Amino acid sequence: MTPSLNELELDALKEMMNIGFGRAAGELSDILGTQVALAVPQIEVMRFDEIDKYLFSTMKEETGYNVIRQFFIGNFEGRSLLLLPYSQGKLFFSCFCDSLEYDSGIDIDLLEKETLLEIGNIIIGACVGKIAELLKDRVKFSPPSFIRIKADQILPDENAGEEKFVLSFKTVFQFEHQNVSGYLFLIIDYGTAKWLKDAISDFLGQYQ
Amino acid sequence: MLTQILESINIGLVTLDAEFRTRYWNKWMQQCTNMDSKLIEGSVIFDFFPNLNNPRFIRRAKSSMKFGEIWQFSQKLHNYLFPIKLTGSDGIALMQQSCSMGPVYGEGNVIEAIYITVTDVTDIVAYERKLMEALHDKDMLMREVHHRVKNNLAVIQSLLRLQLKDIADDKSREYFMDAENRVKSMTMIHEMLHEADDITRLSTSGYVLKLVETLFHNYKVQHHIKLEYDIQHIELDVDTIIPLGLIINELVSNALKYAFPNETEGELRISLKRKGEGNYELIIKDTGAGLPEGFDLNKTKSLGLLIVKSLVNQLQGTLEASSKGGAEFRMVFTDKTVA
Repeated sequence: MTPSLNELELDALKEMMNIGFGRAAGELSDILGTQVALAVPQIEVMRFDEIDKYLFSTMKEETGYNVIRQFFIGNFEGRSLLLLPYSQGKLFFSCFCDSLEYDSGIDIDLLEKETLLEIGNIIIGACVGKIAELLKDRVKFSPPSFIRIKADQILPDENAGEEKFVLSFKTVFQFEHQNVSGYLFLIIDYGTAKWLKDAISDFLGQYQ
Repeated sequence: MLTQILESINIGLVTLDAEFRTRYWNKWMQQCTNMDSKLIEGSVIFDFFPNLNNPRFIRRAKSSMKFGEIWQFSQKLHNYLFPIKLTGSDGIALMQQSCSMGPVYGEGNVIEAIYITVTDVTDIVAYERKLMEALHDKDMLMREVHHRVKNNLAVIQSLLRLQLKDIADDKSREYFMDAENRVKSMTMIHEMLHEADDITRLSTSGYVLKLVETLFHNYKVQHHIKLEYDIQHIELDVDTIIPLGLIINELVSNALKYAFPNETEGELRISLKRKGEGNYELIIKDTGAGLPEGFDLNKTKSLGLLIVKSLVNQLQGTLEASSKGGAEFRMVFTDKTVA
């Protein structure tokens, strides 16, 4: 059973996420050395087994995704998946990598993977770190991993047996004049979801 | 105790603070770079290693410092972080490194510094390069072999052609021409393999068309036979495409020789398509005179068809012949590498 959030809590969560992403954008600008703006037009809460259906219905035209996966450890604990559709991945790559810096013999595919992994990792760090901070927690990260999946493949999950709770954020990143959109999924288990519910009520308490 | 380990471990270890000042520089780093820790500790790392002053290194370091991210700097992409000259004879001038980076937490779970580990992977890289060179040499050798086989086959083909000039008897001339075409179908494969990127596989689309055009030319086919051609781009193993070429050679030659006597007009259709996983279907059909009455594929004594049957067996395929509005041969086979 997943703990459900009522409308007020969901609103509070959205509010927190927007604040968190706003602060993350500031730090991302500093780290990436370019002006970054983040917008989160859509936040949803769903079960893990609903993600595939959700992606299928929202991104029909995509042929596949680059997935950057990372664990975060703390009171707020779980897995983050940043999904960048193939088409958007190319845009990311062109924003952040000048392949001319490298030897002519360099494997461009490897360079693209590393660049996506790097930028994805930084984005996850900024977003998850800031959300945790708002919840008065500090998280640690595992090394990130990179997977490419086709649109008809399902997202990999080692613990699919357990019931998981997913916070899904459709995120639009703006670098200089380029808009790149992706999806950030935070997959948490029952214990963390319960902790999150309490943390949200504490957050709400500050304004009551 | 921990310091002892860090000082004797066979890995370079460096820590940097938020201003990129070197906080720790272990023994391994001192030995490999010839830089004493007293010299470098407290200084900004870029003063000694200006190559690190690049956007990629800086953004990774900052995100480790700020969010606690962990990073890998793979040798494949970065070659090294710290340029260290080597004197070995492997032809590698600078030590190849696999490096990682991550946060060092202090009291209150606050990130105080970042660490960098450096592992020497030069031996592995040298070994990999030697393997690549060996592979390249093998490739060149195979190409040379294909080239020589092609040349030898071309000599056989020329000898047959020279002999043909002195033969007056039509039947004997036909035998020589058949033999020449068979050799030609194989010569073409070795010629294409010599020039191909992958010397073990060949695409059907270019080869089959070239083969059929050569046959049309050799049999001096004018415009009375129209060629319908539907060949998918399929990459096949050399061991599959050589018998396949010979089979096409025999069946197309038969059609050109017997289906349209006295230059009657007609069509020859050739199709080669995928049929399920790893299976392929070849159809050669003409709109000509059809197979002789009472024709039985199992009892035929025609040398051409005996060759075809034996090659179909070699490919573990099946062959059917029918004669409705012309002769039709349908073969299903599997590529050797897939089977």
